[in-house]
Amino acid sequence: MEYVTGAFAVAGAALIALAGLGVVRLGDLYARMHAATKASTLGIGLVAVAGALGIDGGAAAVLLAAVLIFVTAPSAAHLIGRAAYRAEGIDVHLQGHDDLRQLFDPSDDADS
Amino acid sequence: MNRLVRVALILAVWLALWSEVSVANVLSGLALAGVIVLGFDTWSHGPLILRPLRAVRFAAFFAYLLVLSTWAVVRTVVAPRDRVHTGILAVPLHGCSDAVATLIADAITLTPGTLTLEVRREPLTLYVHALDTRDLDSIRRDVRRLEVLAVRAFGDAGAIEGLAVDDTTAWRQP
Repeated sequence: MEYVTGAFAVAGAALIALAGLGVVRLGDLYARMHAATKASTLGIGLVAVAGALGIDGGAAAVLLAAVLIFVTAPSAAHLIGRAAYRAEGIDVHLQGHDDLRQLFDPSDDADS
Repeated sequence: MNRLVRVALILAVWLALWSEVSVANVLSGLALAGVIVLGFDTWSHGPLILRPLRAVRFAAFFAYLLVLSTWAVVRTVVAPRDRVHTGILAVPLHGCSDAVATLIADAITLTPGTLTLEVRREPLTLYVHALDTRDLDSIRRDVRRLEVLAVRAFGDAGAIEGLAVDDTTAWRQP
């Protein structure tokens, strides 16, 4: 049982570390956010499972914390993403398709 | 009925925080839930709807996608690829309540290659950042699948009717 708990904790911590590495290594803001939101959310989930298995009587509180992370992490990412699109001078590295542009440029068919 | 569900939810969170079911905890939780539900009646997202089996299906699909997307992130971090095709696309939703739209937006952020950046009403549209926009239709299909599963689990009758409004073959052009 200890080994199972340990395996969850190590796997979760490794994912969080990789997410942090991604924030350093990837080139632009949105790619970094992809790394930070997805990998660290699953990582925290795994650490929470380890906590629930390993902490006597604390399982419900730890799992509640994990649920709150799952609900709030995407909302935080959403706000950062919105702000980054509006701010000037941030490299968002958009080279493909962009449907959002027309919302900010009224001359470009805004009411479609 | 709606209020009873909310009292039950608040009580569940309260008990989880204490990590102990005792008479004192249940009574204090009920008192707190009563104050919150009666005193701060700000729930404006329509009725709470939950179809348990459909919800489990949504949760299972969501967990599967979360693992997939984490794997994709790990691969990208270890060996960064060219990112010359990142972009943003508009994805319309039909007749979802605010709560269900929030759930879908959250799920998109935690699934492979996509990130919700912006939400607009009238028409209800999510703007999704994608790491690879070479195949727009496949991204739309993935989002559509999440929408269908979420609405079937938590949507009201109007939202379920909205599912029939279009499918991927007749996608409304942004």
